[in-house]
Amino acid sequence: MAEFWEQMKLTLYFMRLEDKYWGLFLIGLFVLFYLRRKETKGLLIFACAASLVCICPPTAYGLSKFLPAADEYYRLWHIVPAGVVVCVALTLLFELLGQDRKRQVLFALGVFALLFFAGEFAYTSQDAWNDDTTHLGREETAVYELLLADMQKQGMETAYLWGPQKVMADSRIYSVALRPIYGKDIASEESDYSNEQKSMYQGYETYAAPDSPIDNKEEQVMAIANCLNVFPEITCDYVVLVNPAAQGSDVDPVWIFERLGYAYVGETETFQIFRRL
Amino acid sequence: MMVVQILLAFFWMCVLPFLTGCILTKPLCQKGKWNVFYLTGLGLLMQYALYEVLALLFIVLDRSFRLLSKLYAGTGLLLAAGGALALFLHRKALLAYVKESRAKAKREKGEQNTRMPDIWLLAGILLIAVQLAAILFWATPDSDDAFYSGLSSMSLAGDYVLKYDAYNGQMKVAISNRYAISALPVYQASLQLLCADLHHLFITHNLFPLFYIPLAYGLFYLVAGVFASEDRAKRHRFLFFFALLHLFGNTFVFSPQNFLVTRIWQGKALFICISLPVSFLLVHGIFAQEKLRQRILSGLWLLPVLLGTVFMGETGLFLLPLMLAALVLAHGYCIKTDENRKDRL
Repeated sequence: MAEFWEQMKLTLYFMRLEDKYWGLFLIGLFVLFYLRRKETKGLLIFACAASLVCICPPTAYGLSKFLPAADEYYRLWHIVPAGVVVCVALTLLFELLGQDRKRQVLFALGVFALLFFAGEFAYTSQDAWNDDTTHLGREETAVYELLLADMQKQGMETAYLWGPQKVMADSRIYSVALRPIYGKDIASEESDYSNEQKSMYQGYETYAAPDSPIDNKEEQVMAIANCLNVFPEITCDYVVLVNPAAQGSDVDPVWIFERLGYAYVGETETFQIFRRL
Repeated sequence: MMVVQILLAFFWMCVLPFLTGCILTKPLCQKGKWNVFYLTGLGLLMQYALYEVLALLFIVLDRSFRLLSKLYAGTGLLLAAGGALALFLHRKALLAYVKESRAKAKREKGEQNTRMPDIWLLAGILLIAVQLAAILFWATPDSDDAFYSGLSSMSLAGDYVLKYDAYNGQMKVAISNRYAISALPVYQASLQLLCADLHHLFITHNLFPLFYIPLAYGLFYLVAGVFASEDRAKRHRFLFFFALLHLFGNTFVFSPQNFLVTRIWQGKALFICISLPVSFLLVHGIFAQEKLRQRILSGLWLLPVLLGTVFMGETGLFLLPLMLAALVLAHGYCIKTDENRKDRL
């Protein structure tokens, strides 16, 4: 039951984030209902039925038992054709304007203005704009190339790697010879990892968090160095660090990591790479 | 070389699904519902269903990924050959249908007393082109994408099918069941093999949007024909507003608009953009049948759609039946209350 309430709360939270979208959907339903067109009756009933299926407590409770992630109940709402309802309603309203071109253009501009100011440009949704066709960042790609070249020199077929989250995540796409020492699932599937790995993750993440109150330029380097020092049993062949000098810090990671038994391999504009000796 | 690779991708990702969907040429021509977008969407789900069945078999038997890709290529081509044969056998019916459609379109244009294409259709197409250009030239990476693409890379490198979890980089943890039932990342790796080693990231991040964003809009255009009006002018306006809504639809990271525009290569996005509209159209077709036996026979096509949806991710496994239940409820109500139902809902 507690899980169920958690999911309901989370869903409500998500819906409030999308309040404008659901607001438009309700207005759209009202327009369809008010104009009572025979051809849109099916859509009106389907949208209401789908919404009822989603809201229905037995459905929600039943699904909360089987859904693997708490946020997935919210995805249930994707079966509600909200976008279709909004656009059909706009089409019907447009029809009421008659053949007057000026009014039609004004109406279209009004809708454009409404969506422009109330919505958000779809391409700003993710982390960053990237002009690379494969979507692997140039900096990350340069790091992987340096790593693979060094591995070849050392005669290593595979290597365990620690680096900032994006470097570790994308390494698997670039080459399976690069094996991040933990993945994104460490936050949710803790049982798959050792205490040392978890400490390393937490130690770094504390400083990596974007909303961290701590100045994270130097502490990130120190945290990761500290974890490798305290837990020498962690197999970590390579360490990729955000170069503190690139962030205006005077911490010297080369000096620190050489004392931990790592050799400096090379660097890109943003990252420095070290190999365990 | 790149051109050949892209043409191969076009064949496997568009031509093959279209030909597969052509298995339904005869009944759709008879009902006046033959449409390239619908057939491609339906054929795509049939191809996905085929891959899903093969992949599940290969996971259970722990067999080679490369063998799976070859087997899929063979069976997929056979399925498409069946569609091509149906297209050839019913070419006369199709030609008659195309002629009739053209004459109807001309009549409609004549009534509107204009030779110019509808301005709202042009504006809608322009908005879609802008979205395509943005996604092709300014990518929007998603951190989850490393997981999906990671699974493809692992299949290619390790020659196995969904064995280890890509979230856990050490390749030591077995993949969970919820991900093992969704073969989409492995299919994308197979496409790399079938497209003369065109990198799967290029296929997913560039060719999936290039081919499937127009397909998704085309399918929703047809859905508007079912749910709103068969009048072309109204559908053109719908398309314009729909494209506009999607341009500014990033109200939330899980919004359907966000899924369609920024990450159509992921399963949950394909479910919303392809599987849902195809299901709408298919269920509409089933209820448009007059006799119960015909409805049951048409209903069998829901099976590949359901399997194709599972292929996209476990979300579809529970969402599609719920959506179908709501659709059946709506159709049932409409039939009960509408004495003069005809071909409408």
